Amino acid sequence: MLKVIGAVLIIIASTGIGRLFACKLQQRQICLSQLQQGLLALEREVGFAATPLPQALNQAALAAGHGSVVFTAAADLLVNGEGLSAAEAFTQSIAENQLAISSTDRQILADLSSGLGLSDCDDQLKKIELIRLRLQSAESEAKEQYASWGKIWKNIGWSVGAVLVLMFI
Amino acid sequence: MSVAMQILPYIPPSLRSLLTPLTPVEWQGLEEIRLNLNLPVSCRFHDNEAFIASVGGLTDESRQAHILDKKEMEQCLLLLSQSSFYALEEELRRGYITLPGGHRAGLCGRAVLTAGQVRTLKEISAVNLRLARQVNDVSLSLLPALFDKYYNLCSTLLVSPPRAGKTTLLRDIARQLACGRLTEPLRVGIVDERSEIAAMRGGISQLDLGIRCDILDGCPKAEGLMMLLRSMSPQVLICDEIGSEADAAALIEAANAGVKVVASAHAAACEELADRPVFATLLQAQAFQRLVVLSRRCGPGTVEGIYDQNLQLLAAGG
Repeated sequence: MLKVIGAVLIIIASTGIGRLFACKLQQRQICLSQLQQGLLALEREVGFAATPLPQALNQAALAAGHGSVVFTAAADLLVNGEGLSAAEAFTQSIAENQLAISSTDRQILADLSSGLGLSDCDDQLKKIELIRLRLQSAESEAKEQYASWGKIWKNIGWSVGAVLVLMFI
Repeated sequence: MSVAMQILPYIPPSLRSLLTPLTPVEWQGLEEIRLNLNLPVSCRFHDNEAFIASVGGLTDESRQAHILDKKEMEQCLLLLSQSSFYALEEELRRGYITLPGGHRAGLCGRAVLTAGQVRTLKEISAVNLRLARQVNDVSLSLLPALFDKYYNLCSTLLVSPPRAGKTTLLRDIARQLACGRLTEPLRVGIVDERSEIAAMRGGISQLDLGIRCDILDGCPKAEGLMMLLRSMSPQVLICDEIGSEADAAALIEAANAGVKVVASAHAAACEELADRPVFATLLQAQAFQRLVVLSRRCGPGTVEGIYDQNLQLLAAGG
């Protein structure tokens, strides 16, 4: 009886670990998609209403789901009156906040920070759009990665568990 | 909120600590903080000027003054613009930024031209933080002179060089008229192009203008006067710092529509006004029945003289 319970627990744990890895891949894809939504909202605020960055970043955060933390933290740093530039605030915010994205994705976001807020409206819009398109391509890559590796991780999880059970029996 | 609390967030952090030793009385008298790149930071008070000492507080010696470096200037611009230069394109074109509380940051730098018109400023070299203050009842002594013998309000132009208290007086006149201090309350329409009269923020005036003021914020004067005239049925229209031909045309239109106008303009005397084509037109059209000349001789808002539409002195000030 104990053996059966142990075997079930091993299979559940290994399946869970496999699913966790698959889930990480899926979360990256979702986070990238939500960050793009945030940047779209930022584009709208800058382009249509010329909203100052702290308020525009807070609006972007509303659309950015799990990625909202980057936008709100940058907005908070800007309004606390320490004279940080938007670039410094955004870079600090990316560094300090955990997101389910890769280091390459972080670098794309960091590229947004350079010159943020320091030029005219057209230039700002071009810059944000460029970053959004780069995130879009990163999302496509994450989607492909999940399609191929997501299933593999899930299957590896339970099959490794099954192998371990067979070895112990 | 005190003036210090309103203005300090726009000053670079390194400079804020140097302003901390200023006493409430000094803050009360402070009119301008001038930040010039690589030059001593100075403060202008009602009747004197002093520098911000590099050890904090005020000093009369420029050698002991704090010199504003490039980083501080950049920080100041970031704080003034909330790191959003794109949101201030129009303000940079005009050369000033209006801050919450009606304060104004005047800017100097290198002008970028497009088709002969200033498109924006870059390489900002000087920021002048001009502090606005509401002084209630400052117009009470002047107000009776703005009415004719039948107690009808006369269209009035307040004339003075900069820093003589035009906007403060204009704001109080608006408040007194809207409150009905001398006559029955009047419906007042204010075109606040630079957000200095009412200091609107989020649709709410941060300065007391009474209960009968309609405020058109950030709108060009010529357009705003017509908009208010058509939509809000004002009895009095108020606007600050007129100067263009379009302003003059709108004021004449308003005057001919049976609405009284109280406005202000830059000049040291009525004769100077008459030499400027825009005001010559206004004077010729008798758009104003009262011209009030102000100066700083005995402090801001000193009335030097009150004139009628023919520039005849009605009352000497002083």
